[in-house]
Amino acid sequence: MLSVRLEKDVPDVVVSLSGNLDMMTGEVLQETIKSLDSAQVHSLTFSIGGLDFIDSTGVGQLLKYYKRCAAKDICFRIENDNPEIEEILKIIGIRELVES
Amino acid sequence: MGSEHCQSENAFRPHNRVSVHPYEEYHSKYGSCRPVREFEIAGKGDISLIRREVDRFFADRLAFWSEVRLPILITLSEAVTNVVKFTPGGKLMIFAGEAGPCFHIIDHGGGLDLDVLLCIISGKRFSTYSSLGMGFPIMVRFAEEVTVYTSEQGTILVLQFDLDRIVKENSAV
Repeated sequence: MLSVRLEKDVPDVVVSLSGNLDMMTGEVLQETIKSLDSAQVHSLTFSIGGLDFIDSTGVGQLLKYYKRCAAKDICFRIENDNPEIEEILKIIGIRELVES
Repeated sequence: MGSEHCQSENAFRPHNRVSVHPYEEYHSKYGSCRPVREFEIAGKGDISLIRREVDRFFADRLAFWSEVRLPILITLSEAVTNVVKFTPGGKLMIFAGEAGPCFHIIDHGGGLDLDVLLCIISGKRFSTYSSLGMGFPIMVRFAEEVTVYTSEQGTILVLQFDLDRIVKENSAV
């Protein structure tokens, strides 16, 4: 189960995630992101400290949004205060690309 | 069972925690072993179901499961996700030895490309095999031993964990 909450709308979007982000739940997040008008987005921040679980498929989905933002010159951040989730981000290498 | 390490002459060891063996060796080594639980892997719904069932199973049996559960569940999730994404399906067998849990993930795919595996282990992330490229380093990070049996008949991953190591690393965070 994944809960996606739009904390702040355009232009500086903050999306808060809680629950599990994996292959099963990624579509829920995809629907929220699709609903945004990218032309109006200046920055996109994911707040993921509330996640109980994330695997490489979930991180891969965030990485996909990072790449799209980079292509459109949109600032992209992942905020997280959960050390176990942070370790997964570091192992996969996303922290070399995305600031916290 | 959790602490057994393969000593096959035919083994290829691309990493100190990873060894690759001929598929036939799996049956001679584990053919007589009986799992404590078994799950079919057929679709993406099985990933969270397996995670939930494994969590419940070991929570009742391992006193310090809460201290080791996340690294083990993530590792297992990566392996099961690879079966769902890249193969027609397979199954998970769980063994509970004295040293801790051991997982056998069996798929009916076309076998693992060892060149790709080497690339991933050598640190080339975000390959075209994006999920395997990101998931395998997680398995290698948390499992004590990743033993791969692969051929055109499919692939079997045996994941063994050193629970003491995980507890020590968690307490150091």
